[in-house]
Amino acid sequence: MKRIVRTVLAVTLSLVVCGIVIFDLTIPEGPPRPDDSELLAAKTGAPNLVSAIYLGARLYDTLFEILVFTVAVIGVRFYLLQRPSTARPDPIPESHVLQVSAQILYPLILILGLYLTCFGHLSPGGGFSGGVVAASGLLLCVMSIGVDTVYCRLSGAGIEQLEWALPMMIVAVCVLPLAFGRPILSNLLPAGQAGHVFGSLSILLLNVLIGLKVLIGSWMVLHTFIRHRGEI
Amino acid sequence: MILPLLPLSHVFLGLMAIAWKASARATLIAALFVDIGLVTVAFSPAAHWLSSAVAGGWTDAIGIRLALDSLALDLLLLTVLLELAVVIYLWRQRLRPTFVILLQFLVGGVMALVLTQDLFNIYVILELLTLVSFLLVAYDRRTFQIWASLKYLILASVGMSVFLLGVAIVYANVGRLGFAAIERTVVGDPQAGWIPLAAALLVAGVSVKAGILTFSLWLPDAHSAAPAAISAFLSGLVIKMGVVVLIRLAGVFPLGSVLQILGAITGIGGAIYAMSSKDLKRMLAFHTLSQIGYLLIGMGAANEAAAKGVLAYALAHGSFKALLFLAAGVAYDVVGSTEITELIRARHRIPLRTRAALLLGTLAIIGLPPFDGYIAKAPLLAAAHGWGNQIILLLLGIGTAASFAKLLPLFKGPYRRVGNDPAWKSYVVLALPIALFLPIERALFGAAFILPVMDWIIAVESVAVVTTGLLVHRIYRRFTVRPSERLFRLEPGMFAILLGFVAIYLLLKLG
Amino acid sequence: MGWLSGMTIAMILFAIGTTALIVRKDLVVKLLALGLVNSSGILFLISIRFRPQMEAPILPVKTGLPIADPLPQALVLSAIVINFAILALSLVFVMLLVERYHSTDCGRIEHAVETEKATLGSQNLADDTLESEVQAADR
Repeated sequence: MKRIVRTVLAVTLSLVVCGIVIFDLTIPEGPPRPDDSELLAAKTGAPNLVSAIYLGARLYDTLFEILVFTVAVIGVRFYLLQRPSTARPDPIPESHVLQVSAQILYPLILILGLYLTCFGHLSPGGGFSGGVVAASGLLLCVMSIGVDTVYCRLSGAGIEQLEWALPMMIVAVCVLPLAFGRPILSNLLPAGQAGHVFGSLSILLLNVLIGLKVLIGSWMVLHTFIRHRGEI
Repeated sequence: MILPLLPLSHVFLGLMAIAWKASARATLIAALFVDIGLVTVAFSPAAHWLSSAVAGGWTDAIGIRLALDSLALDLLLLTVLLELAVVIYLWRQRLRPTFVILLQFLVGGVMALVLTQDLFNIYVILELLTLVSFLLVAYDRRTFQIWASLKYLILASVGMSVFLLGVAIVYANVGRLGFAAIERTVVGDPQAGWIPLAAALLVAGVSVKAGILTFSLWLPDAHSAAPAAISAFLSGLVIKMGVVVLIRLAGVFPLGSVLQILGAITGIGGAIYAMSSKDLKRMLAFHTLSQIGYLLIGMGAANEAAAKGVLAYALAHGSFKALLFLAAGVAYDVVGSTEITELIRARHRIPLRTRAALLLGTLAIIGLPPFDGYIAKAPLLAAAHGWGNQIILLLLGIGTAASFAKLLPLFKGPYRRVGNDPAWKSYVVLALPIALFLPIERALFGAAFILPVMDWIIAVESVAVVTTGLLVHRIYRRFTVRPSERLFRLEPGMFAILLGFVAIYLLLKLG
Repeated sequence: MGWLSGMTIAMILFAIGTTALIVRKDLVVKLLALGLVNSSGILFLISIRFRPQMEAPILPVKTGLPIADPLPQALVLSAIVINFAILALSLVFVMLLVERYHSTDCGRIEHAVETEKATLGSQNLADDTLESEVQAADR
């Protein structure tokens, strides 16, 4: 009885909230954006206006969002890395088809991630999507080679230090314009010809740093989950 | 334009602690020095370096504006104070780099939030603060801490999602996200159709984090389960962040009497739960809810003196609540339990300095005249017009005094000098504003602040409130009325958020 | 635009998410519902600036149509990363709780936590003998 009352109450309340927002929503008509797009593109050198906004005008926001991502990585590692899970299921052996196709596919996906990251200021993409695609490629690599091999190779290359050094580099890129007399959080490197790959070095640099950060952070989260649970 | 350096320095130093295994204490000291330096600049005449500007030199149309107004100054002072006290408190303990980086992110996030004037920036920083405090509450990895944290995260996420809906509606109608632009649009057309819905969504969303009773049902569990230094930080500082956002929203939207009603509910409800609570840290957490009621009623009474009173009370509450939590932490370490009856029974084992700190905190929080609780409450009492406000403020004072009267047996009895309290220096740091509040407030707000404080009527009123509270406690002890603790689970929390949003929306639409 | 706009769908998903968050007792289902609520907020933010017949915000615009608003798309990037962080961390905590109590039932876990808190013993989940591994993990 009580269960039904609670369910009915929950459904009605949610529908009431939903209805309030749907029916009281007033949006003005008219074209969406005032025209400062040209200014934005010229000042940052990036034809992709979304990149120009979140890596140019609203870089402060993006910085805190990268910190949120870093906090997620810290949290996952701190809480799960102590001891393995008490429930370790038997590992499911990978099918041979999966292993072979993963071995073929993962370099392509990594290159796709690199392309998305580096060309993020010219076409849709950028550090976040490129990093996530590259992390999926890394996961396929794990499926084909095995998680311990990948972990040994990456840790040997110092990926853990890079994980903490990258946000520091991003903060430095934000603060360094002070040394050149420009305000903080503006472009570090000058904007060149819009439409060219190296036309906006500052946004390219930030995209690469963010892409690496997302890749390494996702890898650490995935590796921690895998190691806690046992083999995939 | 170096305002972003305040939060960014904390972030950088925190990352250094974990990247280079730099000594944790060294980074804490370095962060403190940077803070004290920058805050001193903020208070000095050279503050034009820190004037309001858009981050990165962009325009207001797209960029994020940061500004250092009196609210920001007040809370920066509180942040530095609490940081100093917590660093001294943690000095002897073994600090892991994870703890240091999370603490630095927390302080950096708080500083960034008080400086920002942009709505979506507030959303991102509030989410950062949610995640960091969620990780810090469960730091000792005990089961009840983990469950309290998880409840906190789920409810705070839903609240922030509601906030995001509000941000979307505001952006669609205003075209920009800065507070100046929103205020201009709202003033231009106060009866516009989108304002009640957007304001209701924003207020409901941020109330989950601001410590308002019906929304923040996670607060008693989370703040009492956390380790002592983290409780001090959360109750003293991070809760104020939600209130800061509410202050900014109140300056932009015509919120009317919504804040006063919320303040009344949370103040009285918190006081009732505090009176019937048997655990010290939980009682302090309920008190946080109740004191937020003071701040909201002060905000609702929209005049200059009340605004100054709110700022002063935020500073005062931070200092004495942190003092109480830190002392409670030391007492818990010695006695092994935070139940009040246990503490009273074992009070001969608690170091004298801890008991002195608890006494000082109690006197401050109940509003006795020479201490900062009284000095900060006096402008609120003077400026709150209308009989409804006055009665509620008096009831809050009585409830506070009644619940802290439970601690009085802790302060009598054997006064042997037993044990050494390692954290006494942090008590001194926090006791400075409690005892010396008047000069601090004069530095912040000028001489005009002092007038309501010297009013004899208000002094007599405060003492009367305290004595009434003691009497109420005597009477209350006869009846063991225990309000239901089942309210603080997950499902009632969700119900309260949705119901609260509907209530605020109806208030705004029909009020 | 007709009644079936993105915002309507977003609010319906929001309602489904909050209902599931309250009604379902399984912790993992509650997390899925939380993800649904967050995603519906993002959908709302994106679709509130939608107009038919617009061009992507990448600048050499060949047709004469107006450009879509790039700002909500930039905001949504931040919101998606935040949702990912919330999902990851809440999943970690749910895993810790489920391993402790061998049940994903929210009511049972709540009841067990409340009864354990009454005793306030040393209910540590961390194992002290593995301190060295924790130190290694902290780097």
